[in-house]
Amino acid sequence: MSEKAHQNPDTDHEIILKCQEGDVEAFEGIVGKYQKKMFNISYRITGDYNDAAEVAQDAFVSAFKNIKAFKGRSRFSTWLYTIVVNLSKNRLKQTRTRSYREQMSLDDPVETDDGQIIIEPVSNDLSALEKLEKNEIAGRVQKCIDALESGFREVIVLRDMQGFAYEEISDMLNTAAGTVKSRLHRAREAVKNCLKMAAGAL
Amino acid sequence: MKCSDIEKKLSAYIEEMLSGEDRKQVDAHLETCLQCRASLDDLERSIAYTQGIEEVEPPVWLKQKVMARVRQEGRAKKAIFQKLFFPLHIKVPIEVIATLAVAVTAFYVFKSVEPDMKMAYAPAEQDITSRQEEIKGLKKDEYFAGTAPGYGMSGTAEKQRVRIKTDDMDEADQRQEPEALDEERPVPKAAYRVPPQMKAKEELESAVAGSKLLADTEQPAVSLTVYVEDIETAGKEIEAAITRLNGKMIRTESFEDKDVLIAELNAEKADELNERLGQIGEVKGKEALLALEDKEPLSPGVVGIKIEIVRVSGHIK
Repeated sequence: MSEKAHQNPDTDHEIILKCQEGDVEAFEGIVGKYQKKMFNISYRITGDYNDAAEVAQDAFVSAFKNIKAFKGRSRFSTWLYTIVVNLSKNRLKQTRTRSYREQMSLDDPVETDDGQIIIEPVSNDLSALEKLEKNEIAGRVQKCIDALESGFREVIVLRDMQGFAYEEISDMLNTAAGTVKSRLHRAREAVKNCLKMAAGAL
Repeated sequence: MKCSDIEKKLSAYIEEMLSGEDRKQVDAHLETCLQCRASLDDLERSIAYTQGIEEVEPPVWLKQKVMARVRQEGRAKKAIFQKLFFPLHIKVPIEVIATLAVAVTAFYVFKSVEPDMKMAYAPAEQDITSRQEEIKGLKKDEYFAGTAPGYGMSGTAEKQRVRIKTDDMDEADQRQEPEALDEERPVPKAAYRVPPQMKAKEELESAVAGSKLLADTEQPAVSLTVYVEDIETAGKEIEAAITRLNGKMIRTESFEDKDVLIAELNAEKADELNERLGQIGEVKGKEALLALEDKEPLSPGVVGIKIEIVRVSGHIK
């Protein structure tokens, strides 16, 4: 089609077109494809499973409402993630001002909207010991990330956890690439020190 | 290079994003500095841990919930679309209600303003038309017969109100009226105002015109003339007499050498009045008064009576 589409081939192009034409059901393909990533971005930024579920929903609904505004200037995924990052930041701000949140471990049972208690699924064929160790590390890392100020948190989540390129992160956060790099450096140092303090030794 | 400077570059060093020069410097430093070496190891491990964190599975219901909300959103959009393009379903009732609301509001607004408008316009109109008639050169008497309502005889509330207004307006008229007009109609003016207390008696050159007017307007009126020596005393006596006979004094007009009383009296009392008047002075026109009882009164029993009290000097009559 257009030059842009060639330069930036979007596999979702057809689905997006359908959605833009008002095909509600076509959106299911988008949700199915991106829900895990969307949910995880939100979960790592907000640090709360329930919040993440709500934020991810809101982000998808918002994306659907505004899908006509998507002109293909960036990748669709980047556009989508930008929404969830912003909503997650907002949610974090709200919960932080409301009360200083109790930090919870990843292995804690989590109550969902349905009132159902679920244990976080860890699908791996590791031995019990190794799994536990891994869960422990994950919990500690999350706690250390939770301790970061907003601004540093998103950068380390998007870069080290989600593996986005600097350019993409710069787009999503609407921040200069240089700022992203310096923030990332400081965030990494902070997490390193936090982990060292928590574990005594790595 | 200091360790603190090196540490700042470690993050980029790990990602191999340093320029050739910087990279060489850091490499050289790390070979000699154990502390920085350890820092690098820690940072690498920390990053590795962060990167190694597994993704969490979203709730199984996430997609369904999203789709449910999205479908709802789609329906809402459709509804808006329908509102815009199929207005007959929704717009007609709204239009009807709006029209009714406007009509009712307008009605009440008009209703609340209306009485004021009437009060303001009725006298003004009358005033203007009457003045126009006058300018056309109509006879003074006609003018009065047409415009001035009959006083006392059968005055309704409406007439009263108009009269009051006319009086009010006249004050203003006097100020604005050109001199020429004023001179043209000295008589009408005085009669027109008809105040209970006659202020403008000097303005009146002829009382006859005024009397004629009353005779014209008050049909069953009886016109009497009483010749007395002392107008003032006689006037008071007559007034007292009329009051005693359950009559009603309408007004009194004083002129240079005579007074005019306008009163209402029950026709049955005509005789008594005649008797009383006879005691006060010489009555002229008493035949009409005496005939009253035989006449069929227009208003139940009550007739208008005009009594002129004229002074006589000793040698005349």
